[in-house]
Amino acid sequence: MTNFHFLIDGVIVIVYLAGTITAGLWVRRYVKNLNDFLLAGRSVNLYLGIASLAATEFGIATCMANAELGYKYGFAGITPGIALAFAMFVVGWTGFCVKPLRDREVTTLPELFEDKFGTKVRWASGVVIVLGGLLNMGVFLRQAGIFLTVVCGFEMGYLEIVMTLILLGVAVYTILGGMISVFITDYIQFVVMSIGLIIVVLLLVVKFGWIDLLGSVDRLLGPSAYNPFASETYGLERILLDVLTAFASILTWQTIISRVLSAKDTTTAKRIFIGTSPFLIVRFAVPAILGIAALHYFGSDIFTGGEVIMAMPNLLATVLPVGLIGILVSAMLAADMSTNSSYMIAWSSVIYNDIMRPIHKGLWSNKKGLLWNRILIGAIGVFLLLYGLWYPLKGDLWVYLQVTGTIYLSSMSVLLIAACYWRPANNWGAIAAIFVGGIIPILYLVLQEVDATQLDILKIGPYKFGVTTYFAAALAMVLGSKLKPFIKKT
Amino acid sequence: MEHWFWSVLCALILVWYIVVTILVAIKGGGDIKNMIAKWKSQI
Repeated sequence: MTNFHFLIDGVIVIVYLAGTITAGLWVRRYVKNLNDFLLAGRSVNLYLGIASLAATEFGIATCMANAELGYKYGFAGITPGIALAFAMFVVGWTGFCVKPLRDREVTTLPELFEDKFGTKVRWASGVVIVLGGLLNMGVFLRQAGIFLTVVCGFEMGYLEIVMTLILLGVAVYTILGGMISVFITDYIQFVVMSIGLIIVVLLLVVKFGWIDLLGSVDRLLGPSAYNPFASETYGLERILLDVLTAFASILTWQTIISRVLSAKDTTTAKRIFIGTSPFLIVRFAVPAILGIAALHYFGSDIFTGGEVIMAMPNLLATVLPVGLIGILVSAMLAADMSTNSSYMIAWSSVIYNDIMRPIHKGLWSNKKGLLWNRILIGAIGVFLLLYGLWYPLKGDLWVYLQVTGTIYLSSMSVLLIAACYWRPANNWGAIAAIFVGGIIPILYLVLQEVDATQLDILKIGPYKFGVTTYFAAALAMVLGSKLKPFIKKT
Repeated sequence: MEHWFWSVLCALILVWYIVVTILVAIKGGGDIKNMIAKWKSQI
């Protein structure tokens, strides 16, 4: 059941899509070389930087994952947003790692690692970044397809077609215009997304009443909905993982770092971080309010287990009136397109710049480099489509995003901090950190699928695995770095 | 007390979001204009 009206809401969505894609295609003429294509010529100023970073970090998958947190944990579900906002503010304020990173004028993180740890570590870092990033991004498309299918009232059989169309729309302007198109469309997408989200949240709060929403949270979730430390299901382990993930992703997530590297100077990069930091609470608070509204409207019995994630889209499909639902779909499409385009170009830049480095050795012409980056973006699009169709997501979406993100966040954050601030760090430590940081989350993902180990893995839980990975990667860096001079001496 | 903390946080963050959306919509447009002018001069 949906209020989506194909003539009224459909026209709103088509106008938005046509406008964005036209703008994205129009600016492709300014792409002259690889620097323009991958980093928009390093000319991005404060407000465009804020719009782009905020739009990139809010996609449909994030919205659904965070609404699920709101539905399951109440206001405690906003906790990761507070951790992320704090981390981004501190990093922006102090310039911790981002200052040396931007000052060096590199294109990707692994490029920075080469000076300190050598070419092999650069290559290995590229592989880990792409592996973790693509596994993480792999579920975006399906979540977006599910959201749009439910809200627009399509049959579930059309899910794959919806997913393909979303991807095609984004791939066209990203392949042609690169980061220049991404920044321009991010700006439009931020404005459309924000207007839609603000209207929808205000409407739901007015419709249900804030006090009544709080009453439902009290009745259905109890006191732990307000205190993440008191919750049996949220708890200290998860908060610790939230904080570690927050700092690591602010420092090393390629889509975030590419905004630092695209900024016109280091001061602007730091100001973009400070200015965007409160948005990371918005990123959790707005979907959490939508999740809480869904809990209030449906109660806790209709959506259980793996279906909890469907509560928020079903609420919006049922409650929003004609016209507004078109604005919401445009807003969510905006959120998703900006995320997908930024992610595709971020991973393609690492594949070309770092993984393919032994092949092109930095000697290929701009024309050949551009062509290869475009091919890579297309290939990533195809991978996303196949992975999204194939991978059956189990459990909490936010947990999946954290676990797959940890594959690279743990080791890359350790490498970055060591490269910038720890003189004794060397390639042995770096390789050990990459190995340990990758193997623990991959083991978790594999063992939870194996019948013989499934129960034990569930008992340990993803949070212990995640937290252990960060500390183990740091320990591996220290031990490896100390071991090399010791072995050489003896 | 905990109700108040989350209620005030949500209210503040929504107000911040509205203000920043307006600010970014206006000033971000200016940033794009300047960037395009710079790119045009380089062609």
